[in-house]
Amino acid sequence: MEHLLPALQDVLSPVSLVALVGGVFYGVLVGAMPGLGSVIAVTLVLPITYSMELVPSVVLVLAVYASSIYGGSITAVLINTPGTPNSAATCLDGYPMTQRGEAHLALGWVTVSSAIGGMFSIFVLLIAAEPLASIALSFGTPETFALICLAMASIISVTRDSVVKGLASAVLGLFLATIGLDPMTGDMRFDFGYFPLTAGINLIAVLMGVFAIGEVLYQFAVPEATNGKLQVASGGFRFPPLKMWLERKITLIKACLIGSFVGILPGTGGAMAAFITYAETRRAGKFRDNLGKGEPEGLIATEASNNAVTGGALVPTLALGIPGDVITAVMMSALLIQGVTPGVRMLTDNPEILYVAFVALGFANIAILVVGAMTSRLWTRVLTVPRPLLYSLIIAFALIGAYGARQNLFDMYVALLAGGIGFLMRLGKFPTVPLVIGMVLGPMFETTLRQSIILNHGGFLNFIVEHPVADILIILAIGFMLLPIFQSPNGRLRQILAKLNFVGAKSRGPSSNSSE
Amino acid sequence: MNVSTVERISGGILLVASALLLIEVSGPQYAVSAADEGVNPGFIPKILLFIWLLLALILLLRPRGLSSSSSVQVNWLKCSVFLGMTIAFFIAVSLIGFVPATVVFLCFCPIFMGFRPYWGSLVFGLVSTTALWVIFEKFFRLVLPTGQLLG
Repeated sequence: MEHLLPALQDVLSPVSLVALVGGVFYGVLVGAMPGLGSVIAVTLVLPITYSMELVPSVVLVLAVYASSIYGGSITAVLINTPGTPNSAATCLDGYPMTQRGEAHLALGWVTVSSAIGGMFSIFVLLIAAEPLASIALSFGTPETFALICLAMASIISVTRDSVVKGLASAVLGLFLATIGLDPMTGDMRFDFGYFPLTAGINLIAVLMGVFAIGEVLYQFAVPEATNGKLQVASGGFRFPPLKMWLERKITLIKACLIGSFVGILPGTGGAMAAFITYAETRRAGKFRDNLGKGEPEGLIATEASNNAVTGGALVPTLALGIPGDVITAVMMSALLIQGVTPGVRMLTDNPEILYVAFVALGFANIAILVVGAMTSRLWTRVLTVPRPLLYSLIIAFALIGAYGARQNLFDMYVALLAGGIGFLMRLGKFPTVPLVIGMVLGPMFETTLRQSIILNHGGFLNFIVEHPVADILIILAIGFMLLPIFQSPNGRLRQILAKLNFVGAKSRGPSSNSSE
Repeated sequence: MNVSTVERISGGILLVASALLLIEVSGPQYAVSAADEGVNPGFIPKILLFIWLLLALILLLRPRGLSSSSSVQVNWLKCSVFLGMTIAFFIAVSLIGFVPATVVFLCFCPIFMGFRPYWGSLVFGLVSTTALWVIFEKFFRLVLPTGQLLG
């Protein structure tokens, strides 16, 4: 803790403050652009850090990191197009609020929840960084695999229409992630002799296609998608009433805790945290029956948790040299540019960096609150742009986003195909989010499962039996998968069980929504 | 269009795709055997495709009562033309480059979608393309496609 005050002094220097404020503006702007997002935002800022000192460069990169995640949520709320997978769950409740003409209130929930989540994670990590790091380190591959299963199950459980469709979508995502080089043996898979497929399917291209192109196509071709539903909000930013916060305080605390913990686990990220918290809120939230219909509790769950990840992800990245996700991997390269190698040695050679990072992230979250409140009127104006202009522009952005990640023309066509698939999935009411999350978690899902089997001498179930933490996580995953069947008032299994007098036919239990 | 019809079409596509891919992954290059289970490149895809096959069968064979009974009205003509314009835009970008293709797309796509006046769309196309080019090429230093025909 003796490094805290010097870190504060460093971060409050004029150069660092300029980097902080500039980084937050830039991060929100790029994060809010459909088709761009955190990875592009952080990557594109790297060349600027070449000529900067160590502390301002760390401040700049962290400010862009935190604010771009928040920025991605703005478009998720306003036009149902998340900037990153982290914000995908925000669409579920943010966009329905916009459709009700409450975009200003939705942005208020999103902004404040993001800032609280980010601040909480720093507060927790300042106190508990070392113990949390040791817990994360104790997670072996079986536990990580089980955690991925839990994340996938929780994602599928939040799909309202059908578990079968959610599962099909998730499996499609997992399968797409297997195309290209085998991560363990280097063998080629499903390339069919076509060279561009050897590099695999680009996640960002799929994101652009499914969320941007597919959404535009659906909104344009299906009259009921926009028929009289979309209203333009009159105000820019409205701080949600304190009474409503207090009614949802348990979800806020849970989101902060889950986000901080998930963030600290190597290889995870904001998307996983957001969906686990959303699923938990759907299970036990006070207003769970309204989730998916524009319920602020859903926004608190997703936004507080995905921003709480930012602090958590810094622990394995800085202390262990293990990035939590793609963005922290890019951030690591920013430190390498400055001649600092993240890892155990960094804590002995440059211990102040850890505290500079925490302090910078704290100020970045305060800046997000201020910038978000000041500029949200600008973002709500996105809705006043005539729809034909907006849709055309989104297609152009999607093309740039798909192409820009790898400078590859093939990725443009992948985005186009993904757009068509996304459109058909919307028509058939297949959830699109499990597909994307399946792609994100796919490589880790495969690697951890195969490593677990190898470590347990080829036994498929040995590693489950010998790892109690993995057992608990797998049981929770199965529970999450079965949850929608039991929760649906008209679910087939529930009807059968009701006939057998095991459960009530239509009751939802005593903790149902107070608004009923 | 009825949602259950889309479900069945999707089930059919999934069934055919998973069957074909299972044949592919059973080929000699993947060499799946019980002995090397766990390290084989075809191990995970095979599991996923098998699950996919089962899900496709469920989607195809489940009784009507369990399928969604809602329907969605789709304007297939508008959908086809818009999709065609988007495909043409993407092909044009790869052939003649980002700037000329985007100017044309951003000028004419809004008009097709019903935006008036025409000159507004033309101004929008020119201004937006210039802004995108300046932001990405000059500010973010992202090299946009130059087009295979123009080098």
